[in-house]
Amino acid sequence: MIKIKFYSLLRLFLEQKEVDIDANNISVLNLLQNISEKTNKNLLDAIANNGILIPGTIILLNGRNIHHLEKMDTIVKNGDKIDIFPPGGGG
Amino acid sequence: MDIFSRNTKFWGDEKQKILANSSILIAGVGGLGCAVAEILVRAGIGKLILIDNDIIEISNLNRQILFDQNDIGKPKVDVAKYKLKAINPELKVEVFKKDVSELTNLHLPHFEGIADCLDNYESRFILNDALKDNQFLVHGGVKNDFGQITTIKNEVTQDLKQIFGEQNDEVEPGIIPQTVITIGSLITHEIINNLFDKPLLLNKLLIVELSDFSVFKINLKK
Repeated sequence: MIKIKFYSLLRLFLEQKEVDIDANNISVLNLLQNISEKTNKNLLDAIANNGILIPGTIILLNGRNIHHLEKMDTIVKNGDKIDIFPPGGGG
Repeated sequence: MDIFSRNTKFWGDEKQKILANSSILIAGVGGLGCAVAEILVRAGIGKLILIDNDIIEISNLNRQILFDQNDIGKPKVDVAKYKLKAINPELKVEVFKKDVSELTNLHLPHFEGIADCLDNYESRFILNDALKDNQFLVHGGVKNDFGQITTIKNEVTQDLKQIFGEQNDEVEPGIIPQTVITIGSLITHEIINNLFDKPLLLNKLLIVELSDFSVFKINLKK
C-alpha cells in the first residue's frame, strides 16, 4: 500500500486528507493518475502540465522532494509515503 | 519587577539570560518579520539585525503589526527599530536597508540564528547559502490561511532548495493577518527552542492550516 497525504489547497480540492493506493513500482506520474481516478478529481491536471509538475507544488517521497530524484518518473514502491503540498511563499 | 518577570516565572533566569545574550538576524520585515521581531523583543532577545529594502505601503497595514498610518513611505527597518526599542530600550538593533541578494557583501555582526521571513523562494535560497555551520535558520512561509515552518542546520537537515525544489514565486499572494501572526508566533517559538538548544523542527516540516485548525508534521529525510 502507498499512503498519500494532501495538505492545504489540495486537501480542499480533493476533499480528503489522504488516500491509499494499492500498487508497487509505479512512477509518480502513474500514481497521480491513480489518485485522480480514485478521488474522481483531476489532481494530475491541477498540479501538472503535460506530465510535468507545475512549480509551486512539492511532492515528497519518504521526506525527499522528487524534484531532486527522477521527478515524475521517480519510482514509488509498496510501503512508501507520499506528501503533496503547495507551500506558502509569502511573508 | 521588570519587563520579563512573567517570562522568568515560566522559564527561569538562566534561559532569560540566554535570550539577553543572543542575537537573531531577521531577513524580511514584512508580516512574518514584524511578528517575529516583536515577539522576540517581548521574550527578551538581546540583539536583532534587520534586513529589508522596502518602504511601508498602505497595503502592508493588514498584517505588518509594527507599522501604522503615520509610517507610510518610511523604510521598514528604521520604523521597526524605533518601535522595537520603544518596547525595550536596552535592545540592540542593527538595520540594513538592503536586499538579501546583497547579503554576502554586507559586514554583518555576529548572530546565533536567522529568521527567514522573506516573501519569495529565490531570496530564501540565497539566505540559506549564507548559513554558517554553527548557526540555525528557521524558515516560515504563508499563503491564504495556511503556512509552514522548519529548522535548517548545515549537515543536519536538508537545505531549503532541497526541500522546496523549484518554486514559481507568486506575486502578492492572499495573506490574512491571523495566518501571518500565527505562523510568526510559531517561528519565534522555534527560534527560542533553538537558542535553548532544543529545536523541535529539525527534519520536520510543520504545516498549520487555519481552515479547520489542522496541524501536521511531515518527516523530512536528511
